[in-house]
Amino acid sequence: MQTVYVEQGIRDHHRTRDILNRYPRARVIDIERYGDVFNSASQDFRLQKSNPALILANKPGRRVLPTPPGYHIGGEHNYYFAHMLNCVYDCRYCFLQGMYSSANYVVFVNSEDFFTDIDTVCAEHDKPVWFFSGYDCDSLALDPITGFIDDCLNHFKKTPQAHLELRTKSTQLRSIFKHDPMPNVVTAFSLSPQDIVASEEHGTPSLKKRLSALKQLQDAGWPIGLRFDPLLYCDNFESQYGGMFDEVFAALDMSLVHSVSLGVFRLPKGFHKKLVRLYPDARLLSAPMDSRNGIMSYPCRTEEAMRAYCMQRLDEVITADQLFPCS
Amino acid sequence: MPAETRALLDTYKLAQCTTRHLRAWQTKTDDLLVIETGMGKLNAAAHTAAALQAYPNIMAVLNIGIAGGPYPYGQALLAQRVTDRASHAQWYPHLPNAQSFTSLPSSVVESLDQPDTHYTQGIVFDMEAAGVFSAASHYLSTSQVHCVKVVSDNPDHPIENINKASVSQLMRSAMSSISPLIETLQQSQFTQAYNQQATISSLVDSANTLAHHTVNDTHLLRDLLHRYINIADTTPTWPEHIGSASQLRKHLQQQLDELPFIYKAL
Ligand code: SF4
Repeated sequence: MQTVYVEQGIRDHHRTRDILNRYPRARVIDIERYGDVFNSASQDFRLQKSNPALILANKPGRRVLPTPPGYHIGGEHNYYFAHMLNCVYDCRYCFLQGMYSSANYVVFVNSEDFFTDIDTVCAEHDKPVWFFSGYDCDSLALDPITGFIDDCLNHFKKTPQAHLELRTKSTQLRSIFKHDPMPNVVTAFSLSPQDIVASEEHGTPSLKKRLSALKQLQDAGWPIGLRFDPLLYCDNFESQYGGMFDEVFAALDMSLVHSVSLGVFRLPKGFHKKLVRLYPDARLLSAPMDSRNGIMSYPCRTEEAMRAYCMQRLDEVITADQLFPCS
Repeated sequence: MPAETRALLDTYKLAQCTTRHLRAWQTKTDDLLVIETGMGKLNAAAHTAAALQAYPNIMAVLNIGIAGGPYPYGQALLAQRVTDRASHAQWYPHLPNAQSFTSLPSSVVESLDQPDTHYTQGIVFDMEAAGVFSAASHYLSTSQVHCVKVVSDNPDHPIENINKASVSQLMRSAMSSISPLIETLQQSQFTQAYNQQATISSLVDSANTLAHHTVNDTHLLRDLLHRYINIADTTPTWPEHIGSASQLRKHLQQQLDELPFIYKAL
């Protein structure tokens, strides 16, 4: 990290100091609000992605928000929060590219405020509440720098009615393994066939490494989740995804998997348009697609065939209450 | 000729080029164009916009000039933020990781309408940067527009002492910091996506020789060409006889439908 922007208001925060200590040679630039840099006009996500800057900020306002309809893994009350924005990886299908104009990483240092909000939301419900942390970022990928997960797990340890999903492609598990397994924390890995990982999920750990991380978690007694989302179309879909399922089923005890979700590639039309403008040379975006209700995805029949094949394979090894198809 | 320009012309052996309304110079290989913006934000904006119109292939802009502030005389400073004092508009250039950039200290560059000597820590005053940024940011991204200022006045070197000879000398001394910035911007990967655009533009030109294309036809053809090249990893061939733009697209769509869309080991 060569450039770190720091909001003046959190210049002396202990997390700011810790993070800055990791980058003694970085150019540190004071800013008033993170949005001045992050949301400024004329940014090029693709160019920034090759050397993103880090922005340290305070997250004001509402920090914990209800998930969109259909985003759940069996819980009745579902919320998400983003302790950081953006991701170290570069998946060509990532919706963050459509959502943000900047590829810079924003890290919010006021973790305690997130935890207070989580407690407040929990207090509003009688039943368990689910919190999803990997919605606007990868939950674990930048954790060696943010140190958020350790604090977060300490908090969730004290609030068993609050459930947490960490969604990731990262194999940085050190901060999880500092703790004993927690039944209310599910670490969910997004999985794709290795040829798709290599072609479309730039900079991410291989399928093998992700499976090995999942196995370590499972062996240690942590609940794990599998996210086959997004499923990407190709003419050799069954051989690609079939091969991946074989590897997954061989590596893990599927009966112990907390939850499996499944979703075909889809993007809001505006995001898709922005991605095509950013990456006119992206193969993935050149597949035949339709627009339905403002969402770009594969033609209905293609989508159904993809989903049906995966469901049939998953039926072999999991029960209906483990499966959560995404809409 | 303003003293700032001379050092660049000598370093890069630039030859004057004839472009309407612009005083401009370029290298024989066309990889560097220097324009004089004149004094003040308005001149800077107008000349920058004119240059970017006249040379649409420009991939990066570096605003070079002098500025006053509480820094050592002759120090070259990168702009980490450019601010227009009058309008409060501001720009954050996305600084590259290259050594040429990381090794230079940076500061806020505040563009004023009148000279000011109330020097403030962390800020240098100039009169053009905001003009360059306001115009250039309509054409290029914050990764492609940068600014470097050489300190020409500070509490020990009064602004009144600035003259052509001193500026010329300052710029010559600063070229060792400025040249690596220029070279970094010339080598940047701004051109990646641009290469495919160039291929597609030449295919569209050749399609136009086969059949007349309206603006909409061209747009649809471009989309198909992008998809074809991305999937096939090569360019399509045109049929020998084609009656219209829509027939050409139909032909291309047929070829596209026949292409395999598979993932395989890289
Ligand atoms: S890992 Fe997730 S958040 Fe990161 S780039 Fe890939 S899709 Fe986006």
